[in-house]
Amino acid sequence: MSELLQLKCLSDVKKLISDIQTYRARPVIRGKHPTLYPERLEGKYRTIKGVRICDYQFSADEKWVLPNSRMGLSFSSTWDNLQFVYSMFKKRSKKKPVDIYWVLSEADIPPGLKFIADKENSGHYFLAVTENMHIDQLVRKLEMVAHRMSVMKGGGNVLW
Amino acid sequence: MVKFERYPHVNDIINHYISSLERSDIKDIIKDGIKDKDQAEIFSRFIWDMVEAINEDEENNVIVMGSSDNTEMLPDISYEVTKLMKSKGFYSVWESVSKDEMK
Repeated sequence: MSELLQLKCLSDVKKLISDIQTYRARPVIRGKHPTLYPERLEGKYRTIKGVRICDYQFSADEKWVLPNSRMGLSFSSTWDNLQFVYSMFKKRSKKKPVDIYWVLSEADIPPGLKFIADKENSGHYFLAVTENMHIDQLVRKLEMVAHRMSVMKGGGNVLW
Repeated sequence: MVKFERYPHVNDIINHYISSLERSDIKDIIKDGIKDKDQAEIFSRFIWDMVEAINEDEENNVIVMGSSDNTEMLPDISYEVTKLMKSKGFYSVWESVSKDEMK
């Protein structure tokens, strides 16, 4: 583990993801939260306490989050998958650095959450809930995941 | 017909930029589906044009779909377009165009 945390550049992360296949990563514009979203009050894209309604299945009263193997926060496990997301951020974020946050697939995930492979998009994983939980519980768990994530500042520039 | 279901707001933002970028050709592709490599390339180029437009609108504080910052949607756009291109057999076109756009 100590060896992994000494990675210095993006190419190291690329090789790591390629070789080990047990990392889950997501790019984040610097200054934004790695697992929670800014408040959005309306539309298909709105949030509840920082969780997007399109990412998880909610109960009718929107107080509870229900297990669904096809829903969850989005992560990449392969460089092929990550590069498109990262590149789109870099393309638009000419003035804002993009960091890559990553986490060990299982070791850093609190109970009640699990990475589930997306059957429709190889290299993509959902951080899904495995049991009914109150939205406040999910928010706390996503904050725990964020706290345990490692970050590659700046993300580097050579992708292809 | 091209319809994105996992992240349905991707349909909305694409429709917005079809109008604002005046791309009736993309509207036709959405309606009829991607049928060949040429259309796959045209659609892929449009997606990157849209990414640029999202960037410009954010920098200029233009309100789109209720917000001046829709950058949080970029992973959803990437996800849906990548899945679409894989399912239609045009992933290599999407990858090639994307590499070119990132130069």
